[in-house]
Amino acid sequence: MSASSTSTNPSRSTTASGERARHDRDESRRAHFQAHFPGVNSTTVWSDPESGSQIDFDSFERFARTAERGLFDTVFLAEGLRLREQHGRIHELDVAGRPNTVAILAALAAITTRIGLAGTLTATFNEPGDLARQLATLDVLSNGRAAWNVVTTPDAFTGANFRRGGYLPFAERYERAREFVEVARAHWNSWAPDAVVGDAVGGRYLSDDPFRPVAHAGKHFDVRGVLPVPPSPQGHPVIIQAGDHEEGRELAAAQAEIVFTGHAGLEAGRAFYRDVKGRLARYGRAEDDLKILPAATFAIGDTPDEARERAHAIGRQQISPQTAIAFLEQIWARDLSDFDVDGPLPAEEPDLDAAIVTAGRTQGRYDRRERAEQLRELAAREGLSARDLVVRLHAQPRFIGTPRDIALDIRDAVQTRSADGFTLVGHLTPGGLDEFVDRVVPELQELGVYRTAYPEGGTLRDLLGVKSAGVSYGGRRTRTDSAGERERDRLRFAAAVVAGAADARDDGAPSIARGRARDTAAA
Amino acid sequence: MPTTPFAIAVSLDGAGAHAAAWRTSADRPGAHTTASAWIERARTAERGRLDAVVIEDDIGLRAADEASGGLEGRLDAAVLASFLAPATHRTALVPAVTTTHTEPFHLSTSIATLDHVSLGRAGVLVQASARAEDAALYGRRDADSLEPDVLVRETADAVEAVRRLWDSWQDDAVIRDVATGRFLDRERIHPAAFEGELFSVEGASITPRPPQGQPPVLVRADLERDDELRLAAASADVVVIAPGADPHAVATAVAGADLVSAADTSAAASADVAEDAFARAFVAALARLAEASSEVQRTGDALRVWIEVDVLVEASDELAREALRGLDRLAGAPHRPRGLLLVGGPETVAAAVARLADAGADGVLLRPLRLPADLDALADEVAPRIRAAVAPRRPNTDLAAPAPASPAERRTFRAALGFASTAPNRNTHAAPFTARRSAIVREESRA
Repeated sequence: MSASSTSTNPSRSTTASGERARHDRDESRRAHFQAHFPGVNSTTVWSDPESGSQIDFDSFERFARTAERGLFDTVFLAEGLRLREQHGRIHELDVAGRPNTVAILAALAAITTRIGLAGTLTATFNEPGDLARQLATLDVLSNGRAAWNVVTTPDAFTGANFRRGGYLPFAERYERAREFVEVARAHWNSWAPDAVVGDAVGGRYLSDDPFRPVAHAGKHFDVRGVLPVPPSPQGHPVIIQAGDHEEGRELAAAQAEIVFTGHAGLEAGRAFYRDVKGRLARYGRAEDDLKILPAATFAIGDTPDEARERAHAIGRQQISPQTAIAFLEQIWARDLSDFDVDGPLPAEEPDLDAAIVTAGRTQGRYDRRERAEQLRELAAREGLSARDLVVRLHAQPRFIGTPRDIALDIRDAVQTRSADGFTLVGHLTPGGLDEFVDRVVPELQELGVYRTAYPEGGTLRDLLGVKSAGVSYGGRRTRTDSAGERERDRLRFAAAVVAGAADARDDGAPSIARGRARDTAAA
Repeated sequence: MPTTPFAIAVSLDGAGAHAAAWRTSADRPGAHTTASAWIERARTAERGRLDAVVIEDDIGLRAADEASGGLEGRLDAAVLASFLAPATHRTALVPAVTTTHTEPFHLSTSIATLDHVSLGRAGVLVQASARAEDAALYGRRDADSLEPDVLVRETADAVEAVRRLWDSWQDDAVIRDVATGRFLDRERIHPAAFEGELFSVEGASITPRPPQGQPPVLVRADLERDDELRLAAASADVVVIAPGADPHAVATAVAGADLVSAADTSAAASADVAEDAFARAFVAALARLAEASSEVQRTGDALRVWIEVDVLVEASDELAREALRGLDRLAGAPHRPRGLLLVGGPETVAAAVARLADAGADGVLLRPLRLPADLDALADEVAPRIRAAVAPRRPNTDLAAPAPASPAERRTFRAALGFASTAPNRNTHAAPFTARRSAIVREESRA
């Protein structure tokens, strides 16, 4: 079943009943949500009169306040460290420009009180000590609400903005990321829990044995010392993982407390859920210690018809003629600037010899001629123009319907273990989640599938209901006890990874489109 | 007499500049690493209409010593500054950042974002680190390679890369042109295209141009180091100096008999002799800076010169001296100021700072010995007196303007320094100032 028919087929409820019959529902399960600040891609509509600034703090403030009013778990920011290019020139068609991730989250910490603050930060063009101090500071300032989406950045294109340049072979990106997290955790463990004595009269601030210095010598890092930031409320920020390939899934099972994925469809979600959660046991973790929150967009209407109309209208806003051409050029690798997108797909074959024209954005790995053929078949079958085909593939919301319908869809997904909730992406900055919060959240609450208030006190980890994957002090264990253990861990990890199966997602940007394309392809 | 406004800034670090400050603080031990204490500090600065708060930082642990009782721990200053921005409206926020091991690209977006969040109140104090402990925390460079001249050149390169990144977006780069489907005009975005000795930065920033265009860059320069003076002249908007190699001469010069220096707490030198000594030291420092500016061929906006002053304020001079003696006893050693040390009642300290203004300083960076006590006193008792004394002689010094009602009325940090409120973009206009970085380190010192 394709994602789109899940939402638009009139017989959906029958299908859903069938689903319910085949999948045990666990009514104790509750939904969790991340609020994804609209990103720098075509999902974010800038031509609408309601579209506000992508950089003014007012936009971030309003977005975060809405998400907190909606009792979301986190406000989530993506990252990209170089402006995207097409044909070797800066891509002009989409929203571009974003703030420094940690800086904007720190500012949001000052104007929110309960919502988690999740930032995407690459393990490729940062150093563990830097991120460890920034994230520990964010956790202190937010009183335990920091989260870190660990991603890797694949290319020399981005590297040209950094000291290292493009230094890391593709196969080693996740190896480094994994070691990076290990070293960051060592930084966060570098103060003993009772390090601060604070005896003003006696003039003794620290205990006799206050520090557990980092002493890491590995393949990618050689680090010694003590993080200057004292232990934060969460000890370690919540770790998020977004890579969808084998290495990413294994890293998620080993280290993450949230997985951000493109597998938003009900069935694809279940397969992903089973796969990733099935890996937890080998790291001594329980099912609920990791929350799977796929990216999802939505279109809300008073009636199913109105919702469908809105979905199509939003899709046409997201996929302007120029944007449709840009998408097709990624497959055809030809100059299509004069191409009429309201007609059929290009007649000629993709230029397989041409270099990839897009840089700085995540790119799927596929056979481009095969892909062109699939697209032609789909367009013929559904009678779609080139532009509407791109809308169909890249701008179909995951949830389309009345507030009640959407709430029921979410309940089904959560209570039949397709997801633990969703990372919601509105198409407008900053008001993109207003309608969801105002109309869908009350329905979810009425269905008993969503919280009606933030719990008293507590950290983001408490809000998520997860145990830390890596806190050593006061926690369960540390995974970096000995070099031997580290090495065994590394080998086990390496063995679990299927080389070459890697996807190239890098920037934590919503992969809704590709997630959906996969669902569609699986139909 | 300079025609620039006179800036009053504070440097905040730990529990105060005095090693034993945490032991007598009204805050509980450890408050210096909490959100609430820092919000209180920022609001105090705001209440006192201070022009800027410098938040000190270091990559690693401070070198805890006997005198401090081992006080440790700090928050990342740049992250902290962004956190404080929504809680304040007027005072500029100036985190210290280390350029030695960090990425210029991240530094640029972090300060640009601080400027966006604070609506034009960002600045940055750049510093280098030669410490082996800091190098070990990064593990990428051999500490032996961190020679002083390398660090100076690298800092200059980092500032240049950051400035280019800040200017990489023109203010009108976002066009939202529905007809052509273009959000951006790529012709209005310019690559940084920076190639330095130790790093290069190729592309444009990911962060649109900050409201000030060029948030002010501050550098501390050691008056014994010609290359640091030239670094400041070539790269900075503000240089922070502590004039007078002889702290006794300087402190007594500013203070007369009412003030003390660390070198001589009896401070009995004659005021006339001392005035003369300070004047000589400061005039010499200004001459050295002018020479440095000339050596790097700086043209355009003039470098602003701030004097760094350690401050302890009590109700009277006598009580202030007594408080310092008490702290020194707790620490087991006399306080060692960076440069000047002003210890006295509000009138005395304000008068001494006003004399610095009259001597030609563009501002002061006051280091409260005790937090929050001396910050409270500076904000409530001292700063109003300084402004009252200085304003008649220094146009544009913000005396008692009402709090801004709207963002548009807010004064940027640049404006507080007497620069254009938003800097012109080097890609479309002449840069605010130009200089030759290649002249910072002379050939003979490279050998």
